[in-house]
Amino acid sequence: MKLLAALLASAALQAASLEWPQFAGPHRNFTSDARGLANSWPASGPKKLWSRDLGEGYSGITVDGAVLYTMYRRGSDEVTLAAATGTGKTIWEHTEKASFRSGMAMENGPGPHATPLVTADAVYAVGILAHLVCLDKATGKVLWSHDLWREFNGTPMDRGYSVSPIAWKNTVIMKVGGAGHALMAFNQKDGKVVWQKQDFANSPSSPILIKVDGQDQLVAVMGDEVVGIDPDTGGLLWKHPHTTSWHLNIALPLWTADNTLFVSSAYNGGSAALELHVVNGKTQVKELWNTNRMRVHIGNLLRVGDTLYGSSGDFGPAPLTALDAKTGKVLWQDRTLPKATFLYADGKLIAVDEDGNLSLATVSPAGLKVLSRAELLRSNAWTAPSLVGTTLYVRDRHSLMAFDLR
Amino acid sequence: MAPFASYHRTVRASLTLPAILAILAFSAPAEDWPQWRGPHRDGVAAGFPEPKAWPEKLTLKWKVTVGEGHSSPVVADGKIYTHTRQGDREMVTALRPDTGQTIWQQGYAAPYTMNPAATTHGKGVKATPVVEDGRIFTFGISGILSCFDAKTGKPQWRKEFGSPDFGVANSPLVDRGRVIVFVGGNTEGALTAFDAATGAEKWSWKGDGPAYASPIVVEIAGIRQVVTESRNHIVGVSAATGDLLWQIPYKTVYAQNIVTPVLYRDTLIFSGIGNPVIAVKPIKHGAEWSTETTWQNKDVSMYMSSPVIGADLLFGFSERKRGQFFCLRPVDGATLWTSEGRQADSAAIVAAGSVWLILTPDANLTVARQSDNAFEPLRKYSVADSPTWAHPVVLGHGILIKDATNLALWDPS
Repeated sequence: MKLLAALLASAALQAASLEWPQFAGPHRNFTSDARGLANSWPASGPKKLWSRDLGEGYSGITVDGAVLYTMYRRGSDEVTLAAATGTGKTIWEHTEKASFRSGMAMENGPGPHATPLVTADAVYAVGILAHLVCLDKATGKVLWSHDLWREFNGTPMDRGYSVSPIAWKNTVIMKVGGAGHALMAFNQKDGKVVWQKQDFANSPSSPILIKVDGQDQLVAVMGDEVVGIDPDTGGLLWKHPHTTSWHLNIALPLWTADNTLFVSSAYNGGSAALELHVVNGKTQVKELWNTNRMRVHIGNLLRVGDTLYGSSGDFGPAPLTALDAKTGKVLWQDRTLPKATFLYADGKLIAVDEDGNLSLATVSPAGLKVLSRAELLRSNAWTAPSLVGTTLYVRDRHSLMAFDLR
Repeated sequence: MAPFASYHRTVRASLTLPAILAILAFSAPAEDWPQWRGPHRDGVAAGFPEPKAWPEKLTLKWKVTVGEGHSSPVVADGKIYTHTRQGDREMVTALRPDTGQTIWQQGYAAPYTMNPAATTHGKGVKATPVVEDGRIFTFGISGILSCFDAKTGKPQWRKEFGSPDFGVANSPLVDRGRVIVFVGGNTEGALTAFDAATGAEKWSWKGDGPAYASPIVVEIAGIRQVVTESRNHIVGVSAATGDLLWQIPYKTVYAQNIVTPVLYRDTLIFSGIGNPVIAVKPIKHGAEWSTETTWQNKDVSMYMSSPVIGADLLFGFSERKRGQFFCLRPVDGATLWTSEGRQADSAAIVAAGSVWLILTPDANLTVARQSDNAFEPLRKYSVADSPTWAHPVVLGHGILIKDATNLALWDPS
């Protein structure tokens, strides 16, 4: 029965490719299968469907049918919000105490940072104190919860926990960090620990699920390495060094068609391309290139054809940077699209830059072409947009908005 | 340039006769660049023979691997010198300007463990050497101060000190036969003058620890003084005795005082991350000194980049707007213009002839017209494949570029 439910859940996720059930969207790579997006917007921006007040936070927007989920901060509490996609009106809220612990340095924003995960049955949300809650989708009632730091002694993170949960079969997998439980899988139904493995220190980056020559793997960028894990058992399949000044790997790794995995970090980390193959049951890792010219901080990477795009840099200009995905050579840098998070749909880049501009652009090895731009959000706008059909959801640290991109 | 001419003359007048003869003997057609920010320690290459038109591409004359670090090259008596790290050793290399070939190389063990906050910078040398009177003085990242014979490389003397959080970055200064550096670490330190020939300590001022800014020497109200940003102050110290003449409390986040001061007439110009640009006038009343802030500009703020003054324009790079070029009027601090934001992480600037040479850490060299009207870049050249934090240095009509590990000579003609 449990297995059947899991299969149904997983099938639902795959079928609903026009939903946005988790951080980075249906494919966890900020691409959407949506079509029919306009090639330009009026100067004032695309048609606004609604806007509502929201509190602090960089947590992204998850969409499941008529309901969206995100998190925000209110005073010393963190709120998981369920709101109607049609109006933005609150359906329910779940509140958790989240006073900063001593030693936390939240000057870049108090969070929450992680994006909720929605499955067929429940919503999974985690705040800056690594308190994971499983909530009933209809009511917001807590079904189970775990304090990943207190219960399991996870790696402390002085800017707050930021790893977005990921679903695998009947489990939800979390990066916790620390000896014996660097990665953990919890049963979606009751929160029981299904497995806990590995000794790596944690980092803020969220994990992804990939298929390497037919084998399912969870890829997680940990404190000083990128690792491949068997998502059924937590067993280590491979690891490869990826270090930064502060054990701070933040950007989401990217898996692409020709068995190439890209990882990128600021803080002197740079980017690497790893070619993965499973040969006789063992994963072979070949580093194709490594460059310090692409240092994605809190954003994401995108590959279109054989070009890799990302905002390179942390607190400086962080221009949009294009690399040859095969060689790692810089093709161009363009600061007209400053430090941004973005998604790609219908051949177009939809970007939110930290200054608060929403941009529609095309990218190619030859350069960036901004088609339309409107200043709709306020700095620092660090939250990536979410797209469902032709409806775009964006937020900053004050408001949540929906736009029609047709 | 007028305000600096007297300073330049004074420095040269202090040279011994053999030194002058040595300079004449090695006299290259190019002007020397013997220290941090050039002959006058102000980032100005007045005699740079700029091309009639800046070409589409620069020609790479040579490129050699010299080692890690952001220490700028210096040029004196027909040789280029670099101070770098190779593994656990710090190396001083003399190179031929025409080919980049090594003339001599000396090294010493300098194991160094970085503060995690600084690992992005690398473990290489940050301070720029100074060549004076046939000697080269180097100051390594862990605090090793050395003197070598500039012609032969023969070690003369060496002393070891500590280093602050982000490593030693203040470049030694030579004044009247004394090498002046800010030695020490986070908790204690001393601005110290050593006899250039022997390394014997001549004086030290222990009122504060070192920052990352480099000292300059100026003459104000007839008194020769060393002026620098220390860890938590701006100070003027007698160049003759090391006595504190005046000081102003000056704080930046994580004690990151980095900007080298510049002199404009009788005022000194300072800035630091999060702070405005200020002009300070030290005033002498008998034996006592006071200071007066003659202007401040809150539009811009300098972090790691030091400004240049030429043609009555103060040009610099502000940390505001994620990196912005600006031009102020040095007489009253009025903002003449600011560029668009997001230009770069930092900028190493040299005023060369009628242009500003701007090397940004993304390995782009921008040539901009010295304009009181707007940021007017003429050309932008990609000059390396790794980060470029050292200053560009003019050599004849060429430009030396130190990247993370290599030194290259580019020719615009």
